[in-house]
Amino acid sequence: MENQHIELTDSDYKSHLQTANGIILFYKKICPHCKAMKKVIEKVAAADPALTVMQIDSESNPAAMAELGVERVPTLLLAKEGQIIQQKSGLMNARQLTALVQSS
Amino acid sequence: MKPTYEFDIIILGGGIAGMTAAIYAARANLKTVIIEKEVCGGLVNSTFQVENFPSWISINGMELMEKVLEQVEHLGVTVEQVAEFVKMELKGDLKSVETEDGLYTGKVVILSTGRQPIPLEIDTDLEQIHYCSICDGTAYKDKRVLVVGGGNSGFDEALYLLSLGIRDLTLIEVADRYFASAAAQEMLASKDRVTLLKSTRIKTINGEGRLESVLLENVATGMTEKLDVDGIFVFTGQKPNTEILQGIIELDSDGYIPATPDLSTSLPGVYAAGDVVRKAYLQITTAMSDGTIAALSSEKFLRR
Repeated sequence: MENQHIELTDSDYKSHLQTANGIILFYKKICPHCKAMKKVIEKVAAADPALTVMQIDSESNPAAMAELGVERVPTLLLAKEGQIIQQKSGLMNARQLTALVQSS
Repeated sequence: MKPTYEFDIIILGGGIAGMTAAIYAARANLKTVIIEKEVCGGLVNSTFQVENFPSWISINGMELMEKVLEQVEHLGVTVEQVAEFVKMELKGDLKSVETEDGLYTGKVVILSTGRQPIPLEIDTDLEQIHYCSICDGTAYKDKRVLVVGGGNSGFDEALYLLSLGIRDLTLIEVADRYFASAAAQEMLASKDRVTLLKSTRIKTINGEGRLESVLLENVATGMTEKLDVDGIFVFTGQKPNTEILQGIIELDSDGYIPATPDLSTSLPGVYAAGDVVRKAYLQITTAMSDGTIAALSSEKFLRR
């Protein structure tokens, strides 16, 4: 089993979130902390093949950012059965992210 | 039990100094690993436009570092990013570095752990205090921003923030003069919506759950003034990332590594490169020079 990686956009994020389970990362292309967060997510996802990873380019998709109340990047949302249950901004390490995922 | 990996050279820190050292080491056929806590590129990653790197008139810092990383990986260097250090042993002929994912051994270690921004002196829980305008600036379009720090970073980042559509930008510097290049000072001073204040510091930060204002103090006169702001961006310099080296290697009183001209440190087989080294000028190009010297010194040490 491999992780699902989905790139969301303003036009399709709502339909994905209705039933979402997993991580949603808001990022920017030229943001070093976002790049680091993607690497951390890759590492955590490699150890948890059932984890679905979604991501949204915040610059190309401002509506999703505004609708979900995201002001900065990287911001990570945790979704469970279509509900956003956690929102964290800033860089986390793999241990912190694993703990966050497991606590949900 | 963690997996063990054997190398000739372990490079701690994947900024431009570490990556340059890796290029030289790999070209000398030395089996090399870079262990980086975040992603390779270091402080250059947070520079919007690099204009003092020979070969490019102007290039985004992260884009430039990705090109260097591509070269490093092309040469067969192992690159471990987002690797959390656990402990290290740098004495003796065989050195070791343990991360949360593995144990790395090598005959030589190059320390190129770089620097990190100095945090604002005032303690606050408010989230609207930032250290990366590329990461956090977009949220402040049409809003009011305070930039703290009158060096090159403060002025360059202020110019970047203005390009995002900041409504009003105030830049403060606690000293009685700015330290940025004349070109950057002229450029920022020529912009509308900008206020520059020397001899000024933040006395208090105010807001209930969200930043609302700051009280600025003129340190020469003692006069104070309230300024309504939505966000604060702090660029007051950097400190060396050498906390993990405390008690392991000789550091000076500011935490920098006092290295010799061949970039040897207080331990045989351990070299230093880049912004962690005590020196007069901390630039991309001087870090590259360090990386070169540290790698060549390492090669000489290994082939002795």
